Formats: sequence, structure tokens, C-alpha cells
Amino acid sequence: MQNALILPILITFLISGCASTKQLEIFTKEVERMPLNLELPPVETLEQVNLIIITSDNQEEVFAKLKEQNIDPVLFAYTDEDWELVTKNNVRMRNTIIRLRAIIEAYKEYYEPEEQEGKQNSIIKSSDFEPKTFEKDKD
Amino acid sequence: MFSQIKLVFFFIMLMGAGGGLWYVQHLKSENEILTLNNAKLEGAVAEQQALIEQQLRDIETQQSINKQLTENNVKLTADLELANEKFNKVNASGERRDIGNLAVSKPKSIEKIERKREQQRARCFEIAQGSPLTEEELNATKKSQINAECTNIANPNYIPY
Repeated sequence: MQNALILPILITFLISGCASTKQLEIFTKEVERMPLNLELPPVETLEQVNLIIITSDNQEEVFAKLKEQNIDPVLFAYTDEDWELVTKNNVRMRNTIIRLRAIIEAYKEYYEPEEQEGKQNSIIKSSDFEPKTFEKDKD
Repeated sequence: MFSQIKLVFFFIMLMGAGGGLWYVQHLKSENEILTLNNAKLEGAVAEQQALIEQQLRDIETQQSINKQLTENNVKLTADLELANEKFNKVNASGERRDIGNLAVSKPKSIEKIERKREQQRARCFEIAQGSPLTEEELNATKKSQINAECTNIANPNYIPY
């Protein structure tokens, strides 16, 4: 009778001593931003502008021609010095457009290369690969 | 008394067997964990290697982009210098070209030239915005064929002579 009581108690202790609770593992995964993929604006075609050279000698002829063509006899003019500056300003503006465009394209090429499109959008961080530690190692 | 000793021995043996079993199980689980850790460490090494390769590729791309932008800037500066030179060109007799004087003496021809230049300037703006170069622009090798306003970007195959 005594044995019949002791035996199950000992077996219960033996089995429960082997049981352990598993530790929860929390993974952190970085998700990449979706590429913006903005298209550059279409090419703007500029209007053709007619230049008129007017001097003290040809002014009457120029105005007569304007009247003949039913154009208001008025001119918005530059001096030769200012015309030089306007031309240079045009070159500067054009250069700025080219520079900015080149920078935008370089950023796009660097951050949104086409080969990235098919790639999975999650990166497993190196911390996911940290080796597990045993309970006894913690002590 | 004898049966009690037998019972104690029986329990000692049972506990010994249980302990042995537990120890084997423990070794097995440790072994499994070590195998898993090993696989993960191998994975981590591969990942780090891939990261280093990616960084090297990034550095290469950065250098190539910087080189490209610098070359581009040199061309653009040359275009601005060209515009400056056009108005301040010194002729064979040592006189500075004065577009004002030229326009006074030959208004019609300067008007014609400037109208053509205006068309070329408009085309330069289109190219600056990304318009592809035409066959004519690409094949231009003579002075009469080029876009004098932005030769560097409009006529890449033109070599000044």
C-alpha cells in the first residue's frame, strides 16, 4: 500500500523535473520604403520668337513693316549690352535645368535601380542571426 | 527488511535510468540548438558578406555618378564660357567684337543670325529637359551643321576645328 503511494509520487516528480518553458523569440524585420517612381515632366517645346534689330537708321522701316503686318507698332527692346546679359542668363538657366535633371536622375539611379523592383521588400537584420544562449550560460 | 532494501535499490536504479535518459535528452537538445546556431551563424556570415559587397557596389556607383556629374559640369561651364566668348571675341586686328556695332552696320544680317540663334536656343532648352538628340544633331561634324548655342550638349560628335 505504501509502495503504491510512493511510486506515482516519485514518477510525477521525475517527469515534472524534465519539463521546461520555451522562451519567446521576437524578430524585428525592416521593411523598405516603396520606391516613389515619379516620372520626369515631358519636354516643353518653346514658342518661336522673332527678333527684330532696330537702329536709328532703320527704325522707320521697321515700324512701317509692323504696321503693314497689322502688328502694334511697339517693341520691347534690349540694348546690345543687355542682350549679351540676356543670352548669358539663358545659358545659366539652361545649365541649371541640366544640372538639376542630372542630380534627379542620379538619385533615381542610386536609390531606385530597376533591378530592385523584383527584389523582396524585407531585409532580415543580422540581429536575427544572434546565437541562442543556454540557460546555464546566463549564470 | 530485505524487501525494503530491494525497493530502495529499485528506486535508485529507476532514478539512475531516469537521470541517464534526461541527460541524453538534454545532450540531444543542446546538440540541436548548437546545429541551429551554427546554421544561423553561417547565414549571418553570408549576410555580412553580401552587405559588404553591396557597400562596395554602392561606393562604385557613387564614384561613377560623381564623375558623370563633374564631367557634365565641365561641359556646362564650357557652354557658358562660349557664350561669353561669343560677345567678347577679339578679331585679327586686336579689336573686341561688338555686336552693337555689327547690328548698326548690318542690321538685316545680324537679325537673321540672331533669329536662327533664337531657334537654336529653344532647341537647347528642349535638350536640357531631356529631349533625345536627332540624327542630324548626332551626326553634325561641320560648323555649319552644329547648334552654336549649346554645341557641348547638342552635338556630342562635333570636334571644334
